[in-house]
Amino acid sequence: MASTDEELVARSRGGDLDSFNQLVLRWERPIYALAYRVIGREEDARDVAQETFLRAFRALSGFKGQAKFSSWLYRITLNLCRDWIRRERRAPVAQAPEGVDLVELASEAEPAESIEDLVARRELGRAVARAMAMLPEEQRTAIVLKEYHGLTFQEIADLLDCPLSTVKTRLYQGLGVLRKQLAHAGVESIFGGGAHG
Amino acid sequence: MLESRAFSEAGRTADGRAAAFCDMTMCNKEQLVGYLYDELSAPERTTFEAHLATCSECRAEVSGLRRTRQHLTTWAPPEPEFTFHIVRGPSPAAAKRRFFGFLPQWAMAAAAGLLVVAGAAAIANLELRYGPEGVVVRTGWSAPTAPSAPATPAPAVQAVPVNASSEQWKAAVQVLAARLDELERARSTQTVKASMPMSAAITAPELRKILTQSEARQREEMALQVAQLWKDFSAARVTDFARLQDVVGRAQGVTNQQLRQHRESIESLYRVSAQR
Repeated sequence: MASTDEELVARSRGGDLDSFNQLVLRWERPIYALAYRVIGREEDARDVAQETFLRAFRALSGFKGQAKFSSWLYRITLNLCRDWIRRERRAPVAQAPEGVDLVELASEAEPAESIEDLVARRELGRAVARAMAMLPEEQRTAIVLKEYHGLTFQEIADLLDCPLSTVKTRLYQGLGVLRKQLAHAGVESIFGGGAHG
Repeated sequence: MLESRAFSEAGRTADGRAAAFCDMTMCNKEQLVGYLYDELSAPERTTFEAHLATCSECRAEVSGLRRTRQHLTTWAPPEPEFTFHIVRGPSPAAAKRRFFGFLPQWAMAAAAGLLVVAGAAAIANLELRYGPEGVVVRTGWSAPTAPSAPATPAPAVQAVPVNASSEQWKAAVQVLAARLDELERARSTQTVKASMPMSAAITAPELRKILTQSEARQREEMALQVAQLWKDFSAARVTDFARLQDVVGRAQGVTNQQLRQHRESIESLYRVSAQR
C-alpha cells in the first residue's frame, strides 16, 4: 500500500531520502504541468519544477504540515513562476510543435479516435494555449489551478492569498475572455460552436 | 454588493448582451461560477437551478462556459523527461578529504609526522589538573632554568711541553679524560631536569608570555641559522671563484708559453733559411 504524502514527508524530515524521492516521483508531473501552463516554456518549466523540489527539500524542516504538501509545493512553484515572469518581463509563450508526425499521432490516438479527430484535437490545444497566453497572470493562474489541478475555490484563495470572491471573479472573467478568444479563432464554429440552452 | 458589480461588469466584458439583461440580484455570477464548478451548497444549487429555468441568458452563459471548459482539456503540456532526484551530498569530512586530496602522499605523511611530534612535545610538557583550586595548567616551559650542579673545581690542565716525558703526557691525558666525563655527567643531569614537569602553577597570561618568548627565541635561532648558512655559502662561493681564477690563470700561462715557443721556433727557422 502506497504511503500518503504526510507519511513520506515525516520520513523525509527524519532524513530518509528515498521517501523524499518518492514524493518527487509522485509530484514532478503535476508541478511541471503547472509551471508549463503558467509560463508556457518547456525548458523553463522543467527548471522551475526542479528548483521547486530543491527548495522544498531545503525547507522541509520548516514545513509543519499546516497545509497539504501539494499546496505547499504549488505555492513554491507559483512563486518561482512569478519570479520568472518578472525576470523575463514578458507574457508566457504558447509553444506548439510546427510539424505533425502522423505516426506519432496515431500512437497517441485513443482507440475510438480517428487521426482526423486527433489532428483537430491538437489544433484546438494550440488555440487554447494561445488564448491562455493572452490572459493576465492572475486569471491564468486561477484557471490553471481550477481546471487542471482540481483545487477548490477555497484552496486557490489560500494559495494565492486573496478572498474567495476574487478567485471566482478571476475564474469568471478568465473563462469569458477564453470563450471570446476561441470564438475569434474560429474554434466555436469548427468544434461544435453555437449557443446551446 | 461590490462583488456583484464586479461580476456584472465582467459579464459585460465576456458577453455584453447577456450581462446587460441580467438582473443583478437574480443573475448572480458568483453563483454561476459555483454552479459551473459544482461548488454550490444544496440549497444554493436548488435556487440557482430555479433561476436558470427562467433565465435564457444565464442558461446560454453556463452552456458556453461549459464548452470552453471542454476545450481547455485539449491543452496538454509536452511530455517531459525527468531525470532529477535528490541525492545526499558529501559530508563535511569527505569534503575536507577531497580538499586535501591534491597533496602528494609524502607531503601528507610529513605533515602527519610533524603533527605527531608537536602533539607529543605538547603532551610531554603540559599538565592539566582540576582540583579545589580550579583548573591548573602546569607546563615544563615555565620551569625556571634548573640550577646547574655546583661545578666541582676541575683539576687544572697544565700545558705540557713538547719535550715532556711519557709520564707527564699520561697524567695530562688522565686529567683531560676526567674533565670530559665530568662535563658529560653535568650535561645529562641538566637535560633530565629540564624535561621534568614543573610544579609551579601558571596563569594564562603567563603562558601566553612564555609562548611569545619561545616564539621569539625560535625566530632568533632561525635567523642565526639562516645567517650562518648564507655566510657558509658566501665563503664557499669565494673559494670556488678563487680556484676557478687560478685554473684559468694557469691555463692562460700554458697557452702563452706555447705561443712564445712557437714564435721562437718560427724565428729560428727564418734565421736558418736566411743564412742558407
